[in-house]
Amino acid sequence: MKLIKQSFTLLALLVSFYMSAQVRVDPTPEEKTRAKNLAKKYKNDKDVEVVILKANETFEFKYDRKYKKMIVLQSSKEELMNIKDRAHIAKAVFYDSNSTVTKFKVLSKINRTLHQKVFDEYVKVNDLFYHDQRVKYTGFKFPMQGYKFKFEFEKKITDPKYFTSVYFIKSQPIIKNTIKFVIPKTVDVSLKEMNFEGYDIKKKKYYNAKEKATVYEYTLKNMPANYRENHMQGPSYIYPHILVLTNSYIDKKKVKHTVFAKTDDLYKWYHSLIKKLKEKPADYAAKVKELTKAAKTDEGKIKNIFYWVQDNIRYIAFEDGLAGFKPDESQNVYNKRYGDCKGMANLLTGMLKKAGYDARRTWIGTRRIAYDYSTPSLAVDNHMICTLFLNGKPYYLDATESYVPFGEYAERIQGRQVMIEDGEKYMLKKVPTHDAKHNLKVYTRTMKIEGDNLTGHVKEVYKGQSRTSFLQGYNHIKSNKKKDALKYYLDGGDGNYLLTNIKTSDISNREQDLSIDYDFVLKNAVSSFDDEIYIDIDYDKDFGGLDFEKRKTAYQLYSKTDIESTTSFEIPSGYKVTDMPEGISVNNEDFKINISFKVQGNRLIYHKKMVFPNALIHKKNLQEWQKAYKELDNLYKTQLTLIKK
Amino acid sequence: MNTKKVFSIFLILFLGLGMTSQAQLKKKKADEVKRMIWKPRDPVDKLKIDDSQYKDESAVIIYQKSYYKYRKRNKYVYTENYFRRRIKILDQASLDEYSNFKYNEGKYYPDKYRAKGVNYFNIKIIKPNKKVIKIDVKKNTVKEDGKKKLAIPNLEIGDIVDYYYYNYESFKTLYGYRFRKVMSSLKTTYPIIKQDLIVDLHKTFYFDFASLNGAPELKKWRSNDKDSNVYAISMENVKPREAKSRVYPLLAYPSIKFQVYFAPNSKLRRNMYGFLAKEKGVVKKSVSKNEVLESFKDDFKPGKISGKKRFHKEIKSFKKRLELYYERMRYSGYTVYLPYYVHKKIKGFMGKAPLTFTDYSNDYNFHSALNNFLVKEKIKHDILLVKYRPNGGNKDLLLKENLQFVTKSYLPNGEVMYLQSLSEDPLFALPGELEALFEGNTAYALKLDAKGRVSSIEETKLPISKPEDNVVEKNTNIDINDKFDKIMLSQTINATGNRKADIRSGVISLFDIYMDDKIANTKNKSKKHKKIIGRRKKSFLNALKAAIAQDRKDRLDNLKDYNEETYKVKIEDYDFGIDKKGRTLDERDFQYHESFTIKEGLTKKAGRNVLLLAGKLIGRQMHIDEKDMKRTEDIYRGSPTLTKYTINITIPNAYTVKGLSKFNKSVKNETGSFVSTAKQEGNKIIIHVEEAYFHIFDPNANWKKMVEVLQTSYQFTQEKLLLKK
Repeated sequence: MKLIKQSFTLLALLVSFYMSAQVRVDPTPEEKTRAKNLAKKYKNDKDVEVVILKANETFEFKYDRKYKKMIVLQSSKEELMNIKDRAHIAKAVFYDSNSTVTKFKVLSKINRTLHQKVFDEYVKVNDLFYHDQRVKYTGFKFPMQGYKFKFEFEKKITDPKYFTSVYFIKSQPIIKNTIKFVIPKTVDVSLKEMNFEGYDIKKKKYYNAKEKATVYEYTLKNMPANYRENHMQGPSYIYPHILVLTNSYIDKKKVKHTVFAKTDDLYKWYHSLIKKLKEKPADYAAKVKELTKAAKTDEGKIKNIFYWVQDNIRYIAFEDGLAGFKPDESQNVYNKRYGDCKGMANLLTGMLKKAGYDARRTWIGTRRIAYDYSTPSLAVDNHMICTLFLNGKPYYLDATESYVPFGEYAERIQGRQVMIEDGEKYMLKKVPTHDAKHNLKVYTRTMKIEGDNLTGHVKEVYKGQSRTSFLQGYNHIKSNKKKDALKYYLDGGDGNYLLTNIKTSDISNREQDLSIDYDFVLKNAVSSFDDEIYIDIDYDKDFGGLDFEKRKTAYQLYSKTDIESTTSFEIPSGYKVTDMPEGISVNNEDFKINISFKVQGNRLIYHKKMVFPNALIHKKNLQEWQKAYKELDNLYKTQLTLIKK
Repeated sequence: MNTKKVFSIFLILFLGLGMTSQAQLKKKKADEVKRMIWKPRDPVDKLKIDDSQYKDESAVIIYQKSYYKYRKRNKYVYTENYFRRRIKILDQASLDEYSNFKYNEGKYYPDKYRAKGVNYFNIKIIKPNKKVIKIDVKKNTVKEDGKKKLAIPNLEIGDIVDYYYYNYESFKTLYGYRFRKVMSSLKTTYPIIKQDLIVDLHKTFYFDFASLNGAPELKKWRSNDKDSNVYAISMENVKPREAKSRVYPLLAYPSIKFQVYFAPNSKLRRNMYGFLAKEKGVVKKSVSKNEVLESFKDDFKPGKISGKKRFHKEIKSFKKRLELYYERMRYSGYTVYLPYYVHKKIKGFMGKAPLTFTDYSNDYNFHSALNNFLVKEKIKHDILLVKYRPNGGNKDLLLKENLQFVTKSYLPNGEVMYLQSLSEDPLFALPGELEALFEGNTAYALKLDAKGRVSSIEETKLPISKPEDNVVEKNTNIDINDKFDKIMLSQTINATGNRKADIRSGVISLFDIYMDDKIANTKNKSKKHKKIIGRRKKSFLNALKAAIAQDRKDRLDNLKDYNEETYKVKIEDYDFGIDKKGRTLDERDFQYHESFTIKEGLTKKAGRNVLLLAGKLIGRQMHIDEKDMKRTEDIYRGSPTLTKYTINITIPNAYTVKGLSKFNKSVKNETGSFVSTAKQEGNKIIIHVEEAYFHIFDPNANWKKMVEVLQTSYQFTQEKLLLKK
C-alpha cells in the first residue's frame, strides 16, 4: 500500500547534513531574552533545541490547466529560533510521483537567502525494497541562543485523491501557526478534525471574495513538537490532524469529477485497478494441483496453498506510483517468487480460485491506522490480504505473516474492518479477534539451592502469537547458528545462566503449541551470610522495565499477552522463609497482575499471572500502570530471605 | 529541403548511429566479460556437492574465484578484477541474504583526468534439476539515487546462485604505477568446496606476493598470453571459522598479501615506493635486510629540512630542548589547524588553512627534521622501520607501505628515547611514548652517521612496556544515604602510557585543547588568527562561547550514558572535570574526576537489610562462556596493562557489614593477575583491586591461565555485601 507520509518520523533519518557559508545576523538583546524564556518553558523537554515562533501554511485547491484537473498548492513559511546554546537541525519536505516541490529555501532573519546545498534523494525505508517517496532536505546550524532563521517551501500535489491529511505538529514546538484551507466553490471537500482535544486550536471560516473561495482557518498555539516513544500507536491516533476528504470538483468545462465522495467511490477506483490486471492462472495451475492432490479435505487443500505462499514467496515491497495501489499480476508473483502484500494476496487469491475456492482480494488498514471504511480516503488502508469463504464462513489469510496457521490472525489485522471485493460491489466485514489467552505463555520452573547457585528445570509453552513470533524469528536464523540462537533466546546472553538439555517440540510446525524444556544453573544467585540466605526468586522479571514516569502516549504491545509463571522453590532443610516480597493484585481494563507467594511444606510456590487483554495500555491508564509498576519493581528488587531455624 | 534541415537530419542520423554503436560496444564488452567468467564449458559445473555433509549449514560455497589482472597499453596501465561466487542456498537465512543485491554497473571516472573505470555485474540461478536460469539483471533492477538494487526472481532454497562483480580501471602513467595492495585472511563464514585466487600480470610488471600462516603457496599456471605470467593459489574444502576477539587475522589465519608495480625503467623502478624484485616477471616473496637498506639509504636526509641552527640554545638541558622541539613540530604539524576545525564547527566552513613551511604531519618530513635536529645536537640516533604488529614483523616484510618510522635517540644521560611520528596521535603525541601496536615487534634500524646519513642497517626489536607503564587508577568514594535511595559516587580516574587514549576518548574535546593552547585568547592572537576569526570578532566569540557550552552538555550526556552502561545502573546529576590533559611532559598523565548519583541498580532489598552489589563498582568484566573456553587461537593484545581500583564505601548509620571476605581474591599466573582485598576501618569499607595482564601475546596453551584471571575478575563483579540493620 502507498507509503504513509510520516514525515516527522522519517526526519530522524536525516542524520548528516551539509553546511555552507551562512548569512548571519546575531540576535538582539530582546531575542536573547525571548530565547532564554522559551528555554525555561521547554526545560523538561531535552530534545527541544529550536522553536517555531510563527508559521503560516496554506493549502489551496486550484484547477490546473496543464494537468487538466484539480491540484493542491501547499505553501509554508516558518520563523525558527534557537533556544539552546547552539543547535543543528534539518528541514525536510517529502514528496512522491504525485507531487513536486517547487520552492525550498532557508533565509536569514533579514530575509537574505542562504545558498546552501539542498539534498534530494529517496527516503530510506527498511521494509520497502523500492518506493517513490523522496525527500528534499537541508541542514543548518544556529550558532548561539536566540539566533533566528526562516524556512519556506511550496509543494504541488497533482491529484487531490492523494491529498489525504494535514498534521498539525512539526519536528519543533510551535508558538503560533495559522493553517488555511482555501476551497473554491467548484470543489466539494470535507475537513474532518481528528485528535483536537487538549490542544489550543481555533477555527474560523470566511469567504474570500477575491479568490471566490471559502477559507477554513485554523490557529494553533503552543503546539508541542512531535515526540517519539517506543511502542507508540500510529500517528493518526496521537497527533491532531485534518483528514481531507475531497468528494468532487467541477472543471472549467463545468464537468463534475467525483474523487472519493463515498466508500463506493474508493472501491470503484480500487476495482478499476484490479480490472486492469491480466491474470494468467495457467502459470501456477500445475503447482496448485501438486499442492492439493494429497490433501483429502478442503481445509487441508487450503492450508497447503496458504502455507506454500507464506513459505515460498518472499516479501519484497515495491511502492512506485500506481504500483503502490495496484497489485502485481499473480503469475508474475508466482514466477518471481516475490511480491509485496498486494502481490502476495493476489497470488493467494488466484491459487485458491484455481483450486476451486471462493477467494477474494481484500483491502485492510492495519492497527496502525485509526480510521475505518466509513471514511472514503486512501488514508484508511495500508495492506492487502485474501478473504476465503469456506462453507459460508470467511477466513482472512495474510500471506505476508509467515508461520501464522490457518484460522489464526496476526495482531495487526485482528478486529480491523476489511473491504472485500465482490464484483462491482464490495463487502465490509471485520477480522475476528483472539483473546489474550490465545497467546498464552506458560513458564513452569522448579528450583533449589546448590552452593551459591540456583539449579532446576524449566518448561516453557508458547501458544498463538507468542508461538508464531518465535517461529518467525527462529526460522530466519542460519542453520548452523540456530542452536546458539535458541540458547541466546533463553538465557538472554546472561553469563550466569547456564542451560543444558534443551529440548523443543517441532519448531517447524506452525499449528501446534511450542514447548521448550531445559535444565539450568543460575550462578551467583544465592547470597549467603552466616545463617542467612538471600535469593532472587524471579529470574524473568517480565515487564520490569516498563517505567512510564515520563511517558506521554499509549503503550502498544506487540500482541495481546497472557503470561503464567509458576516457580516451585525447594526450601533447604533446616531453613525457614522469614521475609518474602509482598504479592500484587491489580485489575485494570488494560492489564491484570496477580502475583502470590505461598509456602507449602518444604516448597515456596511463586505464582505470577500477567494479562494485557487489549495489547495496549491506553493513555488514560498510564498512571494506573505506573502505580502497579512501582509495586512490581519493588517486588522484583526484593530478595527472599531464608534463615536457619 | 533547406540546408538547416539537411544538417539536422544528418546530425540526428550521426548521433543515432553513434549511440547505437556505443550501446553495441557496451553489450559486446559485457558479453566478452560474461564468456570469460562463465566459460561456455565451465569446469565449475563438474564440482560435486555431498549434500549430507552440509545439512547443518546455512549455505555452501561451491566455487569462489578472485581474479586480478594487470596490463599496460601505450601510456596506460589497467587492471581487470573480478570476484565470482557460486553458492548453494540451504536455508531461509541464506535465501534472505542472497535474494537482493546492490551493485554498480557502467562507466565511472575515479580520477577526472587520468583514470576511467567500468563495472559489470551478472547473476544466474541453477535449479536443483540443473536448469540454468539467467537473471535479466536490467529488468529486475531498480535505481535509487544512482545505486542499483536487484531482487532475484524465482529463488528458492536448494537453488545455486552464481554471480560475479567485474571491474576494469585504467590509469594514464608516464612514471610508473603502484597498484593497490591486497592483504586478506582466507577465513570464511560459509564452507568452501573450492576457491582460486589468480593474479595474471604482464611480464614487465613487478610482483610481491606472500602466503602466510599455512595459506597455500603460489603456483605458476600456464598462460595463454606469452607476454604474461599467471599465478594462483587454490584451496579445497575450507571450513568456516567464527570471528574471535583478541586475534590479529593476518597472523592467526591463513592469509595472503600482494602488490603489483609498473615501472617503465630502472630509474623509475628505484623511485617506486615498494620493494621490487631486481628483475621483472618474477615473484618477490621476501625482503632482505640489504634490500631495506638499499631502499631507504637516500631518505631522511637532514639537509633537506632547514631550521634554526640551534634550537633554543639558551636552554641547558638537551632533553628539554628535544621535548620542546617535538612539541613545536606537533604544533606546526597539527595543532596549528585546530582553530580552523573549531571555526568549521562554529561557522560551518573551515576557511583557508595555513600552509606551514614544512608539513610535519608527513612522517618523512617529521623524521628528517628530527634527524636534522639531532645531528646539530650531536646526539646519536637511529631511524627504525617497523610494522604494526597485526601486519607481522621483519620476517614477513614484503610491502613497503606497511612500514612506519620511529626515531630512536640515545640521550647523553644514557637514556633511550623513542620518538614516534606525530600521525600516531596527532594532538597528544609526546616524546618517549610508543604506540601499543609497535611494542615488541621486530624492526630494522637504519644506522645514521654523524651527518645524519643512512650508513648501515641492523635488525632490532622494539621494547615491550610493563603493566606499570600503562596504568588506569580509579579512586572511588561511595556515600549512601540512610534511605538507600541515593548513592553518591565520586571518583578520580588517572591514566598513563597506552591507556590514555581510551580513557580520554569522550572526556576531552577539541575545545579543551583549543583553550589550552590559548588560541582563543584574542590578546595573543597572531594576524593569521585574526583572519580566521574575521571581522565579526564579537559574533565569533559569542558563538564560540555557545559552542563550548553545548559541547560540554553533549559530553555530560554521553558520559552519563557511558557510566550507566559501565556499571549497569541508573544515574543522575552527572558532572565531570579534567585535571590533567596529558599533553605536556610535565603533565604526561591524563586525569579527570566525575561524580554522580546512583538511583538504582546497586542495591537490592533483603527484608530489613540491604544487599549492596559492590562488585559492580569495578565496571563490567569479560565473561567467558563455554564456547570461548574452547578457543584455538593464540591471544593477541595491545600493551600490558594494570588497572587499580580503590573503593571507599561509607557505611550508613545503624548498619553493619557482612560478606567482606568474598571480596578477597587472588589469582596470579604467567598471563596476568587479579588480586583484591577488602577491610573495614571504622564506618568505611575499603576495597583494593589490582588487575594486570602481563603480555602482548600469549600462546593458546596459556589461554586457560588467562581465563582463570578473567573469570576471577568476572566473579568479583558478582559479589555482594550485606548491610545489616
